[in-house]
Amino acid sequence: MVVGDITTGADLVVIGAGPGGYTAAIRAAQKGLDVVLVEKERVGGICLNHGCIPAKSLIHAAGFQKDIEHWEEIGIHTENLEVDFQEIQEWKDEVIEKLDNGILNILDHHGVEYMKGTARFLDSNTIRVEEEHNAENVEFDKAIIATGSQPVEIPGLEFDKDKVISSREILQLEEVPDEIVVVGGGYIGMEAVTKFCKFGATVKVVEARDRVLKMFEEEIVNSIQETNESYRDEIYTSATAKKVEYEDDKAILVADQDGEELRISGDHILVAAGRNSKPVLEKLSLQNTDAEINEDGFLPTDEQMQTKDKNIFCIGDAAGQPMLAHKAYREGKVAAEAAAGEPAAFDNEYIPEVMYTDPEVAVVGLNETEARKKHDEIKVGKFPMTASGRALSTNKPSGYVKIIADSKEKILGVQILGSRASDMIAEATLALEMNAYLDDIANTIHAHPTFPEALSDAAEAAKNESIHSY
Amino acid sequence: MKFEFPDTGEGVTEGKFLEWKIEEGDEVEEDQILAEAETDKAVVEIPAPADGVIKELKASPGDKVDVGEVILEIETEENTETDKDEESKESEEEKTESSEKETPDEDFSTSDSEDVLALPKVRKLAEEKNIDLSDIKTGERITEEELIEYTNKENLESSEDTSSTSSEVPDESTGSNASPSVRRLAREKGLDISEIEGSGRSGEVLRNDVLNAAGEQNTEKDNEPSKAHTVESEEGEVERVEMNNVKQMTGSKMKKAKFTAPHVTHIDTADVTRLVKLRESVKNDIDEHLTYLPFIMKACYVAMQDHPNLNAELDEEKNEIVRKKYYDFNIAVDTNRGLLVPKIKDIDEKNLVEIAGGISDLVDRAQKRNISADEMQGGTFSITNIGAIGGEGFTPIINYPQVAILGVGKIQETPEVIEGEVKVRNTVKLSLSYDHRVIDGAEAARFMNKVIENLENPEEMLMEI
Repeated sequence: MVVGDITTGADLVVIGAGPGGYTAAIRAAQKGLDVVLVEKERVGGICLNHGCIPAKSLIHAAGFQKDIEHWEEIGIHTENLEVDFQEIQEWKDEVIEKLDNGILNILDHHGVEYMKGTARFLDSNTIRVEEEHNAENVEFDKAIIATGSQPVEIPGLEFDKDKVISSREILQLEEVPDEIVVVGGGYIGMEAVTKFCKFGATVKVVEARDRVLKMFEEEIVNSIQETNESYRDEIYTSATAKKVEYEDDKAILVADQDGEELRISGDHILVAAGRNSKPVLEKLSLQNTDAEINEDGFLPTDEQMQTKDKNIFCIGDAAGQPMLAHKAYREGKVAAEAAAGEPAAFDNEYIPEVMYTDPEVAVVGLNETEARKKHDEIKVGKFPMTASGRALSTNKPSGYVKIIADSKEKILGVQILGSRASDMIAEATLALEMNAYLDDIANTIHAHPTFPEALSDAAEAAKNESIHSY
Repeated sequence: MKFEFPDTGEGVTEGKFLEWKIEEGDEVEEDQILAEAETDKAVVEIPAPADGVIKELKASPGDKVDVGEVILEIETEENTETDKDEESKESEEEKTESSEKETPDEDFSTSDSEDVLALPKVRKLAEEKNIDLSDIKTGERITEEELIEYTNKENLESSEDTSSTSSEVPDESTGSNASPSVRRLAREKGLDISEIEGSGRSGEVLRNDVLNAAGEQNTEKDNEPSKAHTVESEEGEVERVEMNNVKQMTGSKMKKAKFTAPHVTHIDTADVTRLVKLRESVKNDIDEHLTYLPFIMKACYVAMQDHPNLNAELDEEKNEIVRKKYYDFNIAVDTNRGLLVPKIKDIDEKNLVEIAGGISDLVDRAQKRNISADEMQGGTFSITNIGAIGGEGFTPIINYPQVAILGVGKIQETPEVIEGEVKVRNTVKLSLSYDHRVIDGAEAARFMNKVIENLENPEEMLMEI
């Protein structure tokens, strides 16, 4: 790369090096394109640096603290137990570092040009990349926008990165706070509960709607709340956050619950009320191209992830819901292949959703309520993890696997609640994409003893033929 | 309810009343034919918009009536109590519905009362799916894809309603019934997976289905002429010739057709002397290369109006004959890759010159290997014209799952006895092979008679189309 205000050229420019962006860059390079990848912060994006990976690292660590109680029960006695939260954070940062470097190595291996800077479009064939000390234009044949999203800010609860924080800062706390107030009872809010309750904090959740985790069936939410009191206690539903007040060292969230004022105090207020892709897209000067931001704040695309501008593709959070890294990975590959002239298409019908509560939740396809609306007759098989040898032998007996099929036994959806739900959903998703029937899962030999055996038992349960449950 | 003279499409604005089939005071059922009228395109039958009693006839045979003019009043159960406003609204709705219903049966296919453009098969599909085509907003003719897309959207929207919907619909209409790798394969072959007939469970499209569908396309192997190599055997020298994809496909299709459908071949001769003269007289006036094929296609299409079983398919599972209200004819084309069967769409809608243009284009592209599988699949009837090469009668094999194929021999001068005298006439032998499960010998003979009549009296036939 030549320094200075001059123009260079590339077959493909990818803007944003998050999961979607770096994947697109690597795949395009594999297809023989000359690729420039532009990132203003760190490779890996939110997911790797400020989202999935650090969150799950902390959940992993928090899990130990919880598990230690169980050690005593099974005869493992520990003395002088000490948890150093800062060391945990350092370990977490090492994980991120390792993954970031890994990606940089792969990019380098494939000859992707990695540029640090902020990009905006000059026209449908040129971006301007502004770096710290200079700027240059990059001409391209195709561009992929993968600029992601940022947390939504609620009026009255503007982020100050100290008391009022987003999902990003919560992962960088230097110590475990006594009390955290979470505004928003979605994934992020509930995962904060998972982590910090186990580390010993009190986490209070304020949700505007009548129940938390509105995207999941009530059965699932009830089950989590029954299993784990931290998802049940200190949950304030139908409560609208209004403003923050400060008292001593604490922040007080003032909320309105059915006309009554709630005052909930915490060391931090985590605002996790959704994410927004529009502010980032607006900085790209898309008016110089034919791509158009729609009223929902996304850049809509066709099946090949192409926007209204034939040279410009869009993937990941910026392309639309659901905002999930694994959707972005797949879209990145599709866009890269399409840009290379291949007949790729985002034809996926099933995108699994995973939530790292304890027990974990993972769902794909239709749930029972949705299936009943669409089909006169359905088959439902439910297998409790209490009947799984593997679940009991790892002291993870909570949860269940539920499988829904149509009257011809074609699988419509799977919901899993349990210790390894996030891993088990892969098999269910494959089954759905492959148009599998109950027998396909039931008659496949599942290794014993494992968690996924529960899936084949649930498939049998839907046929009223479960061996291990009734 | 006031019933207006319906818009029969094709820009028809007025018609002449021929006859009432009912009298005042008669009880009629919905769709019962009430009257016949003549427009400048054809004679149309006018069905009743609803069950009811005929109150007053407002037109008499011989009257000229404009589209939208009230031609009769019916007393229906609903309108005995409703006020005038509702009456007119209702009749408006009924009108739309009735004209849509008759559209596929009649040969009016490009527009209806809402000025919606769509092919008959699209209209039929819309009717099946209970969709009002005028709800679909496009600038031009509504395609099947657009309708399907709209239907899917409708299903999605309706699935969000609390009311339960029918159980089969969402399954069939949402998403592709194929695994990810097969979907990808279809895209690589340039095929729309939703148009490939699946042989798997519940019609799942399998890898082989895609490969079969792509078989007729110009893959590399297709393009190679058949490879041959010489082998010495004990008895003597033989040559072993590898079959290319086209030949293999033809082989397997022929085998399936011949062993599934019990074939009968009906052979007859048409005296086409007048047709030969007619073609001679016009062929220099038009740019397209006008062969006899467009005339023969039209002759078949017209004959199918009386014999719809010839443009059909057999649903073996349900034991139902599926009569098709669209007319897409395949023609056999000899290429250096083997036999290809490009499809000329909408024989009912196109005029002779358009059909001739379509044939030249498809034959040309078939020979240059520049034709897609889509352009060959899914016809409703086939014609094979070996006469261009030579020969009189032969026994063609049906292009399964179609139920009939017409073989056309060579047009030649033969001595014919006309009113006791031997005259030199132009004649052609026609060989109709048909699936005896669907079509009986008598019906085939009647169809053939009608085809011959059309070809022997081409001017009259042209008046009919």
